Amino acid sequence: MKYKNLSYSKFFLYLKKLSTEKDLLEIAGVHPDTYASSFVKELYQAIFVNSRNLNNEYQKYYACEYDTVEDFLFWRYGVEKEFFEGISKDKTASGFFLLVNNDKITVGENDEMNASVRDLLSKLDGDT
Amino acid sequence: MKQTIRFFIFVVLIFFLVFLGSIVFFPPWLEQNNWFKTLTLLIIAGGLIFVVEELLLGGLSKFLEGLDFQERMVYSFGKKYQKISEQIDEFTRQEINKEKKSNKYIPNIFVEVSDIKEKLRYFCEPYLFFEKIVEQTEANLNNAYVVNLLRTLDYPLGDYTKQHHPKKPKDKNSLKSEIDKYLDVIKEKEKFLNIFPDHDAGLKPEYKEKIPENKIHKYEYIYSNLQFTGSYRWAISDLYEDLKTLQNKIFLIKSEAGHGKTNLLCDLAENYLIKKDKTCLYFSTRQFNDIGENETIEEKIIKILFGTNKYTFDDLISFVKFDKTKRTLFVLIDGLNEHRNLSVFSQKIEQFLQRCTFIDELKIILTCRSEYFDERFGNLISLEKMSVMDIDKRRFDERIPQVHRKFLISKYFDHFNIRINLDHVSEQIQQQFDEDKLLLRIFCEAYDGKPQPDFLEDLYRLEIFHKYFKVKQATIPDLKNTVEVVVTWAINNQHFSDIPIDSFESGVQLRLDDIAYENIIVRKDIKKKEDVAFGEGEVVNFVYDEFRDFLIASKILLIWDTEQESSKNLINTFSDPVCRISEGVTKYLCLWTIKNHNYELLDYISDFHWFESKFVNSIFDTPEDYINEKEISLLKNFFLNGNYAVNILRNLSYRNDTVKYSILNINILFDIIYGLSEKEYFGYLTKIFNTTDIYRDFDFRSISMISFLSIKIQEAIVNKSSNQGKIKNLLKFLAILVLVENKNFLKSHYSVNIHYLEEERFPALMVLRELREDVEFEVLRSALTDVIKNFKIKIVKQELINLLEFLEGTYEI
Repeated sequence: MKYKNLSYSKFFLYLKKLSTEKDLLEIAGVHPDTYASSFVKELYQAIFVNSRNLNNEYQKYYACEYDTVEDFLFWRYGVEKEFFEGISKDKTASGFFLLVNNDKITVGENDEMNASVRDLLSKLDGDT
Repeated sequence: MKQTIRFFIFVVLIFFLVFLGSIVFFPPWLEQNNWFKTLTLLIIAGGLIFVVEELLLGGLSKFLEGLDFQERMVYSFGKKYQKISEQIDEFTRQEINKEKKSNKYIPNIFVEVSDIKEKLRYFCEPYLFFEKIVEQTEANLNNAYVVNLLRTLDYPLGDYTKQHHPKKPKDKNSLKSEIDKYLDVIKEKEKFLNIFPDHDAGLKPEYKEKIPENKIHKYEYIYSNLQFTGSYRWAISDLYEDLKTLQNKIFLIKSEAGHGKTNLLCDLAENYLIKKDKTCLYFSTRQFNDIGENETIEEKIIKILFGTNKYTFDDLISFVKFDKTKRTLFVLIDGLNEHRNLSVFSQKIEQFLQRCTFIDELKIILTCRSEYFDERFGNLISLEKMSVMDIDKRRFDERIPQVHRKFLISKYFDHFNIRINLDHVSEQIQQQFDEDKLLLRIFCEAYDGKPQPDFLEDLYRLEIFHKYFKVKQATIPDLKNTVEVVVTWAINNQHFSDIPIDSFESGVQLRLDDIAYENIIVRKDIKKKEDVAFGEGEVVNFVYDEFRDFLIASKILLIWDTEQESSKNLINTFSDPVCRISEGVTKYLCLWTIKNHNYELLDYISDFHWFESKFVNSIFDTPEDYINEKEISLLKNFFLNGNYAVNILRNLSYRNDTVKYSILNINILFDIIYGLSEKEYFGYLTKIFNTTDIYRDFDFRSISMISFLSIKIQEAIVNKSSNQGKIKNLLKFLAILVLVENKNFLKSHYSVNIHYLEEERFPALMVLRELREDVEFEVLRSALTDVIKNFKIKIVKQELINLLEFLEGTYEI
């Protein structure tokens, strides 16, 4: 999992795979019908349902204009080329670049809650 | 009836003739069994086949008549449309190359700081992008702030959050039908906003009831936030605009001069339409300058494209109509305002656009300067199926995003053959280029194909402008004389902007047209005449104010050589602070004077109150080759007796690389300080170094200059960002300042989180003590020894000896 904040309500996320709500609830270890579970469900909706899959967008609309998905993300969203260091070409093609636009869910550096969200997403994505 | 009998007799006659012919020419028929019956049936069957075939062919040709049957045959089997296709591609490629050569289009520097290029994509490929528009609208609505809030309340959102999945439209009709379907969906979703009261927070009572009992407490808590429906409303209003764009036929982009219209249009043509194998024609409006009185835009397009009237505009349309992979002809016309006869052209373009709205296979993209569009092309606003977008109003941010900055500068450098490695361009200059693209452009053009420095740490503007003006003279005929006429007019009339173009004779006006086309030295503007009811006129302005001041100062200098009194009068008038060009003209007068060693003029301007500040800045803005003893002695004098000692000190200490700066460098500062008396050192110098208004530590707190410099020097030495020679000079500088007191040090002891050097009484001394860990001792010793040898002030000298002893353990001179 890798992330980059784009503005106060927008962030950009790289995930190796897309998970289900059940996976996320399990990894989070929350009890059903609790505040924590409702938060995790919200998180799931924001990231996996209501986000924009930029890899798909690239393939569908912009592949003729930009040679690579890295070029597309650099020019359209200002994602630096360094962001892709450590992500192999295969993973770039098969991975998921998600644009999350949500006022409530953020992954910024300055908050304990954000650190938990990042931690949860890393575990979910199988990062060690 | 008669006709039927005649037809019957004709058929019988034909039958009889064929029958007879068969027996006469093929006698073996007679030897066949049942020859009469077989031959009769054969003739009837053959006749019927012939009749059916004729009927089919006749019917088919009649049916295809409305579908340009003949032209389709020509398209399939002839070469006409192949030639048209080749000529369109070749023409557009050539036109874009022309824009590149004239530097109006610099490839790969277009950054989408506004959403206009995305809207252009929608306009060009409506069938493809309809789905994206729906997807992103759905995502924006489902992620809207109030929707998320209501989710936390378990409010039954029902169909409001149900995703709509449209079918991909394949043609105009299915697009229209899908749009209508989605508009119905959106109308329903728009009703969601009805649950919020007008001009109040929360939900209307009847909707509040829908919140489950166990969430009511939360509702009360977030009640006041339930009024921020903006993100939901914006998603819907954006959608309406986008759906219109999809169906429109004309797209007009407007902005102020120099804000990237040509670049956007060429980028769209080269990196979007051509890459996607679309058929597009790119024109610069100047190509329509000689359009005939009775000529239409379509006829002119054909003339420009083929040079003859062998083809028609309809042929171009037929080509994209017949080629299923093309479908649409895109006509791009850049800079409507650049036409010589705007009143005629605006009418012709209006008529052209009116006709085009009825051609399904045609889409038009136009650009125009905002003020010209409003004043001269207002007639176009009422046209149907047109999107008008203003670049200036749709920019998210004035600045290029930080991540693209370096990339863009390097693309400019590549385009203009500037071979300076970007890592050798100081951060400060990169920032200047980022903030002032025109300066970057002028710099690049000035040095294109010329000797270039290895490192770019100073921008000598006079040099850049001078070189640039020479370069432009070589490419624009009669530039020098024409600009001189305008500058002379400006000087004589003391009128430096909005210079009426009709002040000049027609020859100059025509040449100004050519110069204005490049849009980098002068530009033409529309100026309303407030005192006349219908008045408006074209005026000339210098694009870059500083370049204008450079030219005016040059002219004054020229006058100085022949009519000194007139020149003095002009200097008096233009350097008066009430004169709006005084700032720039005085700066360039100083720079020219230093460059030309015009000491007579230097003596004259040195009496002016502005001279000191302008001279101190100008000397550091001049290449060292032009600096003589006279200028250096003036600088030393200003350091000791003037008001700009801090500026001088800062600039000289920055020039600590004495290899790179062999004349105007830190050694001048050493000379000045070595020559100070004890009283001057502890009085004047200490006072200078305790200026606090512009120096900030890492937490941006105001600190004294002595602390600031000590921090910066320590940083440079520890980070090894300096070479050996520079390190020695920096150490010498610290040694010289060893007893310069930080007057804030006591006060700082009571401050929280202040940089530790600001708490020191003698920051330079502290840094020197600490640097022993980071600097080779021999370098440190050599620097301190140099200073000890040259210093006159005993107390400072003794302190340095003590320091050396402390550092070395034992030290003797």
